[in-house]
Amino acid sequence: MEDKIKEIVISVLELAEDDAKQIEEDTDLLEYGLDSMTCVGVVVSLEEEFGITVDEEDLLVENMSTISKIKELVEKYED
Amino acid sequence: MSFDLLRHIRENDEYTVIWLFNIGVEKYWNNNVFTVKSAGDDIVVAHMEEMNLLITRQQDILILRDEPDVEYLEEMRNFGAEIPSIVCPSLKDDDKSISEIVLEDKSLTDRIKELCRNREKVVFVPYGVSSLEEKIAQKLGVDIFGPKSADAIRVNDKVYSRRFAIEHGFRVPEGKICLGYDELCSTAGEYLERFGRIIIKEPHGASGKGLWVVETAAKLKSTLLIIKRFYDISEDREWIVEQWCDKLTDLNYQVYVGEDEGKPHVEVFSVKEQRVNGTVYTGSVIPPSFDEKIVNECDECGRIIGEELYTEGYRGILGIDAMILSTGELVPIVEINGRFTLSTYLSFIPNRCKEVTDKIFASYRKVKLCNGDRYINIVNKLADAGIAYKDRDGVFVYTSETVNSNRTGEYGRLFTLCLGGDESRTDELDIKCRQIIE
Repeated sequence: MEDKIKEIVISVLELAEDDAKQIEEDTDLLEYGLDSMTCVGVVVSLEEEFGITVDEEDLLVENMSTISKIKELVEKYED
Repeated sequence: MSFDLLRHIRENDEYTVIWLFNIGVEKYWNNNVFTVKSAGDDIVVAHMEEMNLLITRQQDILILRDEPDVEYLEEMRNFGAEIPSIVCPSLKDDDKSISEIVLEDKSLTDRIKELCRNREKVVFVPYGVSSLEEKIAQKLGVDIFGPKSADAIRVNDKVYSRRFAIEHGFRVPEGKICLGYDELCSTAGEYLERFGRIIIKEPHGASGKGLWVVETAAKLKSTLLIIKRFYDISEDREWIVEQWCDKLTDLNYQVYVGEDEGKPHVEVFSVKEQRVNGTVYTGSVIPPSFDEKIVNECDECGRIIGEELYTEGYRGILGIDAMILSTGELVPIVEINGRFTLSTYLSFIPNRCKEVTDKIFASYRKVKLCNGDRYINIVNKLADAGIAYKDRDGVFVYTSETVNSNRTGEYGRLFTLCLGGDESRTDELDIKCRQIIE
């Protein structure tokens, strides 16, 4: 799941290869261009990939600022 | 003498202005924009209010969420700002708009009324006008300078802007106003195939939101999914699809639509070159570097737009975004903003700054802050590097609470003016500032 999430994030943020290699589980994605505008693209891709719908109250950039946090969010909705 | 906002800011007069920097007012104009929130960003945006100090007068009243940094006020004073009476609500709530807070805080409105008690001429000037600001004016018992909220709603609409431009024979990119999601999808697909690069616009977005530049089928697919997921896609909703034009630069011009003894007072009071990253504004060049012919054309178009809107009942500021195509031709309306824009507050710096400089580059950037960072830390870093503003040259930081780590957390927003003799110097200062701060 982490690899798929990473793939989505790299694609939506349009990261160059060098930057993409730096993304680890706890990398701060805000330093790589994650903000409220790019986050909508991440959410839509996650929802499509994992068959989930994220509630409005969880739609916060701060909930998606690392790969780990995104994984937690997806797992919450997969259950 | 009736109230003239330009005269108040440029020359001063006997009026007391009650200022309110209610950025984000567009959420009260329509409900279509729904996005992922960022608590950190919301706090930063809420504290951009301090830039209002660039245009206040000493006799004015400025409503701010929080007291500004004392050292910052001193720096602003030295720069040329007139510091007004600053009033802050006792209610602190980052989830509420400043207008909601003002309406709830009776002690605040009582304080303002007390400050205005012996003043004959008082007027309320918010950044934008919705029904909330109209209620504030009523509560304070003062006139409001700005459009009626119904006019603000009508004008702050990219479909209105495009229709206005077409009806008045202004140059526009090839495009279409689509009705409903299905027509949006088919038009976007067709235009992408024809032009290779398009822009899709939701009519009511601000600050770069609701704009998508698309150049591949995959990007179109994901964009349409985003729209379907986050926006109202009712059949009666309008969308814009346009060819993306190769351009030399973006620009913004500010138009004053007022009245003087029953007659229209329409004036284009500022033209700026805008630097844009994709669809997001990053800075302004004052004065602009492009041809005088373009400035004159903006002046003419702005006058036509202002006079037309005057006859429709609009009063207030218009911030008009435009662009110069790679052919050198002006597209005079990309978007009409029927409210203040960040550019409005920058428009009077050459007039109000203690020491006039030949060129100004105003910009802002996201910055990572260390624990305990405040305004003075940033200023000291610039001073240590020899580029802090002094003697008509250097970098001036014009907001403080947006770089207060206790307020914003890890990420803030740095608003700077790079002042110097010419554009190469201001660009040099901006690069140096970026190297020091980032």
